[in-house]
Amino acid sequence: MDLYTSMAVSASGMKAQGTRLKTIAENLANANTTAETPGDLPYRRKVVMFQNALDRQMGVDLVRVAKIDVDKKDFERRYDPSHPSADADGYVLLPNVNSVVEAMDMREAQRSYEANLSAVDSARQMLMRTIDILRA
Amino acid sequence: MNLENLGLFKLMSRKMGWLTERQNVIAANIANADTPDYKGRDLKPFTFRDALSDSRRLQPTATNASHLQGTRGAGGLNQEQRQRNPYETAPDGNTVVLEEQMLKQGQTGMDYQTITNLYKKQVNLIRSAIRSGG
Repeated sequence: MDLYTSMAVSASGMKAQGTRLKTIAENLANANTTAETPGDLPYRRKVVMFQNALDRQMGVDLVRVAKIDVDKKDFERRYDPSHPSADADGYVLLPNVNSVVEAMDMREAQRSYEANLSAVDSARQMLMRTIDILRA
Repeated sequence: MNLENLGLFKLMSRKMGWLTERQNVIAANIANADTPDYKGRDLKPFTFRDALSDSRRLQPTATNASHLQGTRGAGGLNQEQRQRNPYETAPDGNTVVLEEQMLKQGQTGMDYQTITNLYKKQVNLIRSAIRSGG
């Protein structure tokens, strides 16, 4: 166990948060993606799941993305008979993406990423101080 | 001359080892800040008494060649433990609070700086003792 291990753990955390951010970006980009034809389903929101995984070589718990699943929440409906994908009653199905929820999730991912970055920085400073002993 | 044989140096390098290990644990906590059901961890505090009595602690002896050694030893100073009083537990069972971890990380970094400065001072002291002899 040394400081490089600590950096590896932080890096795994950053990677996981990066994947999360990527998924959020995907959700936001597709917030208005409707189906092309009536009867088809629009874009479904994706959620990232984190998991704790033991790295046997280093003997520490790393973080990794277990899987990217879909949100099972119902789609929203909007009355718009002129829309190409509107059903017989004139309703269009919209993705179950809520931009406020996504924005909040994004902030959280960003903060966690920053925290991991500061952990890397802290480990780096400790290493530099150890090296500094040599110069004494 | 081996500096490790001097009591003070031995104590300092042991403390540095402990701080390194603690930084590892904190990094793991921060990385898992959003993992459901993850329980924050910390090390057993480093105390003067433990540091001194560590060498006198009884270790299990392998009396047979087929006895397994174990990887962690008989629970030295760097024993990990579950955090006893977490600030709060999130609804998903995660007990990591970033603020708390940041605080601990800052403490660990400063302690490390103190020890390395102390180390340098001590080396300089020895060096000036050697010089004055010439």
